[in-house]
Amino acid sequence: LLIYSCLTSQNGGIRQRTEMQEVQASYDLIAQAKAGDHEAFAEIYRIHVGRVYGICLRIFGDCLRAEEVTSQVFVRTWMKLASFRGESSFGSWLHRLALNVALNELKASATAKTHFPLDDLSTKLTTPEMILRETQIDLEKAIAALPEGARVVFVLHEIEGLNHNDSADKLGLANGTSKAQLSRARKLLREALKKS
Amino acid sequence: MKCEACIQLLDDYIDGELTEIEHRGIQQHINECDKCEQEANFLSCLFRDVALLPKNIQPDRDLWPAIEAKIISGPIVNDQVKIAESKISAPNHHRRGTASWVWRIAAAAVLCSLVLAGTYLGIRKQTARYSNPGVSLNPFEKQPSGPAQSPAIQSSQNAQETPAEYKPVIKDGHSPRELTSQSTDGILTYPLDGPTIVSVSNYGVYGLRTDFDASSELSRNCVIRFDRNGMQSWIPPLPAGSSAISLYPVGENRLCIAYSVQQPEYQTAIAEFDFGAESPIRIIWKSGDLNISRFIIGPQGSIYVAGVLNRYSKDVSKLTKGQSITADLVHIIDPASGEERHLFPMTIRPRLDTQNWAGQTLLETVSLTPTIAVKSNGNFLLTIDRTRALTPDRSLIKNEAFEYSPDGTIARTWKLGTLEPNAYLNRIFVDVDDSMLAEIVVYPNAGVAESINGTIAYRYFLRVAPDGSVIRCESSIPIDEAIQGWMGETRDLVTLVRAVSAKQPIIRTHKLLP
Repeated sequence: LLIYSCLTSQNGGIRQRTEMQEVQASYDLIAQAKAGDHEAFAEIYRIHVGRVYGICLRIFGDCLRAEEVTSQVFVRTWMKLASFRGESSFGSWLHRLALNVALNELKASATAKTHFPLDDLSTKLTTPEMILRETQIDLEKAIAALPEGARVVFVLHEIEGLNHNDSADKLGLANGTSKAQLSRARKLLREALKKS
Repeated sequence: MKCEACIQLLDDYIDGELTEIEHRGIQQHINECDKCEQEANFLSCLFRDVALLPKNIQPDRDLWPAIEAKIISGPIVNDQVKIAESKISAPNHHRRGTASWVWRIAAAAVLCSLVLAGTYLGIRKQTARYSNPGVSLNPFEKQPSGPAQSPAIQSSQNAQETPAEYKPVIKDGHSPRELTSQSTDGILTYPLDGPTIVSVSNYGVYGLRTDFDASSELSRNCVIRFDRNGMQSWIPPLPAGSSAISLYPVGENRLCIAYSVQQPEYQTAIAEFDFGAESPIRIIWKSGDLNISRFIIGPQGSIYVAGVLNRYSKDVSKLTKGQSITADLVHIIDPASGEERHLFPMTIRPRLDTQNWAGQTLLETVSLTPTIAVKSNGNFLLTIDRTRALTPDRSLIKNEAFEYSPDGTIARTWKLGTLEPNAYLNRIFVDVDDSMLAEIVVYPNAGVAESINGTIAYRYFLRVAPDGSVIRCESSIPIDEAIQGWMGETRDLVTLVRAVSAKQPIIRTHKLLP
């Protein structure tokens, strides 16, 4: 490590050390949170909230509902933290938990049709790498406007990367139904985007 | 085929779920019908745009105060959440009691101290070295090696993640496959759950596992050594963000690790380590700057290298031939001096993956393969694959290599021939007579690269003579000597490896030179 830090500029060396420390810090945070440290868990929340909220927002298409479920996910994460054994990355583990909690909430409740405040979308994405192009905003709007069944299957399959079997399993659908919903979503998106 | 039928099948076509005959039918129709071609292109663009949507979206308000309040007051667990949690198969979390907390915190602290002691120790020592003015800054000067068995090594007996006995986990229907060995003596069987790359040599069997946290985009690379007594894991002190890691065993307890880093600028390096050491013995080779100036995305989504600015520097180790089979594989002899030199292939991974995967919806795509080889005259070769991405089995239909001069101009173009479906160019070697050896890997039942079912690679070489003729050379490298496999997530990889014992030298008959 010393050698590489010397090879690079001073700033580069500091950055590498910082990254190394960050890796260790993430493992430390989980260990501390497991031991009951609220501050450590708050840090974990700050690191992962964007990813969890992104999942919830796209599944529910509703900011308020997404916030509620995001909070629930983190409360459950706190409760389940002791069962995280590091056999997968924490991000993957949390991602699965978030999907499960969100989809069960979706199944359990007749979702209120408060619509996604689409015009606010671009202002939500503030970091440089998240600034959306106009076409992407159109796309987000079109996805949010999809009927719930089609939207959820589309989000799981196309954005969250689940295959047909997993999507159908999580939603309690037959495999064919899931495929049909996906096909419907794509068709509706095609039509919506051509109009925009 | 009529347009209506074509449109109906387009989704399956894009998903690669059609039969070969159906696929060809659609493809033919698209080539002839502008309307359907437009539909296909539209769908391709849609998938590309979806793939580029941000995964992280910040909520409008800070949710933490409400979460913290629920945590402190003790959350109400409803049935739905219980169902959700039951799918995350893990033991129950304890409830936070007042008295038990003290014991649990104390126990956790002791446990953490024990488990992480080695790592902390290593980090403290490394940190201390930053401020040590007595340490040489010359990267090529030999550094004192660490102990053969440092605290950073986790033995199979006490490391939870690397138990001595493995039970392979079969996920998603991917069956572990066994490799046959030509040797009947000293055969060990290692079911591996996790390591993606396995290097087998006279000096041992090594695996590499990379844990990647998608949220933080941080990864940790863990080298695992297997022997008759079990396995040991070690986190080598590579720079943060190291990727494209390859292992080259070069001694009983020694291995070279090739890696790439992108910060503060892209560079590749090969460092020599003693297994378990806290610092490299030396840097064998490193590239200075290898800047690919830009890529052009053509009208069909094809990716072209617009220019390569190469200002790399290199130093070559004086490894003895025979010291490592890997070194043998990549050695060259300088025709001018007759000096034998060992060069390892560099690996680059420019950020093309996303665009490339978005590009898989295209009929054909041209991609930069992550392979570079360096010639003794200082030129280097960069290979380009032309692949057909929409077939059920991603097929490489053609590839070629561009030989660049150090000033970035193209010195020569090499045609590597047309390869069979499922063939992947793994790496290229430049032979002493200026012919090129392309190591080809064939994955049976391979899908696209991110979901390869088969983890057993069949390897052979294509020899491209200076006159352009292509000869297929059977590789005598036993099939079980090196295995590479990928799946979507590193930790999902299940590979059953029958490896030859490190203590039983493997007799090899391969010969790179004719």
